Amino acid sequence: METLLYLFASSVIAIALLALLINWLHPNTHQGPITIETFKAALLDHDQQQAPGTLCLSTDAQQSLALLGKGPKLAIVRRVGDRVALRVLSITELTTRQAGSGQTKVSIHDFTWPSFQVEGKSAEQLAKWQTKFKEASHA
Amino acid sequence: MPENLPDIDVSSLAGPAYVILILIEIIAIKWRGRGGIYEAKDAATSIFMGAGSAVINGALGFITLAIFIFAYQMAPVKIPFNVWTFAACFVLWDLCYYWVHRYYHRSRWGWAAHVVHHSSQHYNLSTALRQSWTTMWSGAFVVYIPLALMGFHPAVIALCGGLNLIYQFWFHTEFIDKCPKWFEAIMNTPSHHRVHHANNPRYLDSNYAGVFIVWDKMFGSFVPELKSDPPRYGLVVDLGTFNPLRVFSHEYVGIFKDITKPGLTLGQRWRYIYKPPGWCHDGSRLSSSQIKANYLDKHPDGAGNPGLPD
Repeated sequence: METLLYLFASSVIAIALLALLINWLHPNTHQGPITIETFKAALLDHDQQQAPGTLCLSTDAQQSLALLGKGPKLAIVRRVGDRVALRVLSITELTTRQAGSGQTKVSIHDFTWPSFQVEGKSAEQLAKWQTKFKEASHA
Repeated sequence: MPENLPDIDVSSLAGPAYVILILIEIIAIKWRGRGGIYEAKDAATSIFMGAGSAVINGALGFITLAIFIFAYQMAPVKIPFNVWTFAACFVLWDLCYYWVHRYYHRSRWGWAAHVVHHSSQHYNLSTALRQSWTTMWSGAFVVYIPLALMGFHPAVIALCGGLNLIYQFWFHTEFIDKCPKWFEAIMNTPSHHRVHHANNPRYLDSNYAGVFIVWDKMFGSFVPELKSDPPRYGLVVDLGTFNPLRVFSHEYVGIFKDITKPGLTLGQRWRYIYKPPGWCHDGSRLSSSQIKANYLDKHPDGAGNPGLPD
């Protein structure tokens, strides 16, 4: 057990040193906001043929939402390190709640997808979509 | 313990070697300007998963060892240790590994443990260390018990397992393109294993080999790497986090959510555990074979090409 703990402690030190070295030699140059080009490329990589509409950018600019075609399907693209991850879901699968003045906290039923915030025009746009498709599903 | 078995703790020697080789790869990629990409958070997650795996699986290793010793005691013949019996055990271990690995990919319970290894969108030496913390829990060790029942000493079996795992480290790289033809024909190589880690439809569920690629060729799961379809690494549905606890547990959480859904029959709940990843009762998700079929619907000219059905 002592050997295993020693192994674990030395691994943690090795990880920290390697991460510093990687950051120095291979800095992550993909840290800006998710652009429409990034969004389209993510969809294409996953064989999603529908074109995205207007992008709603999260407050930290690390993820974007857009309706696919005329909806109700929606795509979310999230920056994960120097790569991106994609989820395609129905807008009714989003859970939103108010998180302060003009801010909306958004989460999806996905254990590996942290919740995020939108604000300003993005929050308004998201609220419009939700209202529109909620009414459509009740109609 | 066989008297003439060399007293080598392969795993304690391998750790520092892994770190040195990762260092060399990081510097070599920078120096040559090609052969892969490193990202700090991704590599840190991979190595952390490896350290956790070594600790957890190391601590639980006595359970597997006890089972192997029990099986060995029941063996009617005890095989003496020499270079030939060691070679035979090594090859047989690798054959068992092929089927274990196939089970990991084709049953969701196995996949829940193994998905960790495929969860990086990068492919470099650090990816090799991104190992499961629940290997024991997956039950895969059962496949190796016949080796002990055949009369191979548990220490020899453990040595073969350790060496097999060590061999698998070096080919997690984009830095090496192709090896000599004779080597590519027999052994598992970076090119063959890049295919295994890719999520392009044609590459899904292929190249399960550990050391010898011949098993894939024998059992129909071999797909060559095509220049026309460069591998894209990661899962069909990539993770949105580097959190190691979520990386290790997400598929188990997924299984739990599925089997506790209201309105399912007992059979449907059971199938969520043992059917291939992506199986679902209402068709809302896709398994690998369905992804390949959908790909062919859009690209019918690909029918019968490597990795795609006729």
